[in-house]
Amino acid sequence: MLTRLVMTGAVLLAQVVLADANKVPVQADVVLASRKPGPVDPSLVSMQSTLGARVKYLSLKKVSTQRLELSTAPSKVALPNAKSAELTLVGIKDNVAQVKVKVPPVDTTYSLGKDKSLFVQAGAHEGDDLWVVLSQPK
Amino acid sequence: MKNPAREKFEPLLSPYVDGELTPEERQQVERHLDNNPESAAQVADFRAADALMRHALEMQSDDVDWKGFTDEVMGKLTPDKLPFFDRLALSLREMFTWQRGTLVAGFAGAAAAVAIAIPLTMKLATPDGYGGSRVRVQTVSVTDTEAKVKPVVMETEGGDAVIWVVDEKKRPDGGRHADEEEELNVAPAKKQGEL
Repeated sequence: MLTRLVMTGAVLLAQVVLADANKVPVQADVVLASRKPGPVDPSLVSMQSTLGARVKYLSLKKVSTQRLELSTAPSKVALPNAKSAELTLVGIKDNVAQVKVKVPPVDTTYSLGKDKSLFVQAGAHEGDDLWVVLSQPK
Repeated sequence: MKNPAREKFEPLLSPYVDGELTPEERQQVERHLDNNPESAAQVADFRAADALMRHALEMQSDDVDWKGFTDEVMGKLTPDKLPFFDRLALSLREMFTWQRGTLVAGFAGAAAAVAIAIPLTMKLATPDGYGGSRVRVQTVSVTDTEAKVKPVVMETEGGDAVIWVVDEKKRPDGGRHADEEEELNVAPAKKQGEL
């Protein structure tokens, strides 16, 4: 009886592990960026610098952070402006994953980079700019 | 003159000295010895003879070399060593006879470990999708045709990428937001097309 239970458990665990094999983890942060003076989240200082090439944001606040396991089924990220971003794994080639990102009204397909981020402007919210930041989970 | 009590107890005296009587018999003999000096003297003689014999044996044993005695005895007890495969077969037979439960559980555990280890190894060998050294934007398009916006892609030297959504009226005619800095490494993306 115990033997059967152990074997069944092992097979189930193996199935769970294999099921995860075609998923890619992505960290999705929603950031509210403002040109008005205000605090900058310490984890967003590098983002402020990157975006600073074009716009000087004086305040950056992380609205939400979630870790997604991307697969061919779309994963949604809710935005505070009642919209949502949608992420789908297109495929993996040579260990580089291609991901489709829908942040209305823009659709993007991009390939992931190790420890790199994609910043997508996601509309306005309460007079400030919303950004979706996609990066490799820490 | 015959002593019936002595006649009755005489056969018990030697076993008494040797400690072979039951507690009840021993008490009866001791009561008899208290009242019969002749039997008591005989018991004393027995004990003296015993002591003499023990002493003589001890003296004899001191002269004997006991070194290797145990090995010699065990050597006589242990049969000749069986051939390897016979010993193996015997061990397996004994294990399957007396430790069947433990063996089955062991095999089941090993099978479970293999069942977990193989997919886990496959998973570890599976690429994580982050093989690229930088983020590369492959396509970008505006899906809402009514939206008067235009995506602008910027790939930084550090390997990140930024997708700005700008008002179409301001691009590409050179109009800029008051807060916008000088644009570096910015390439306007094609609308509804591949980069």
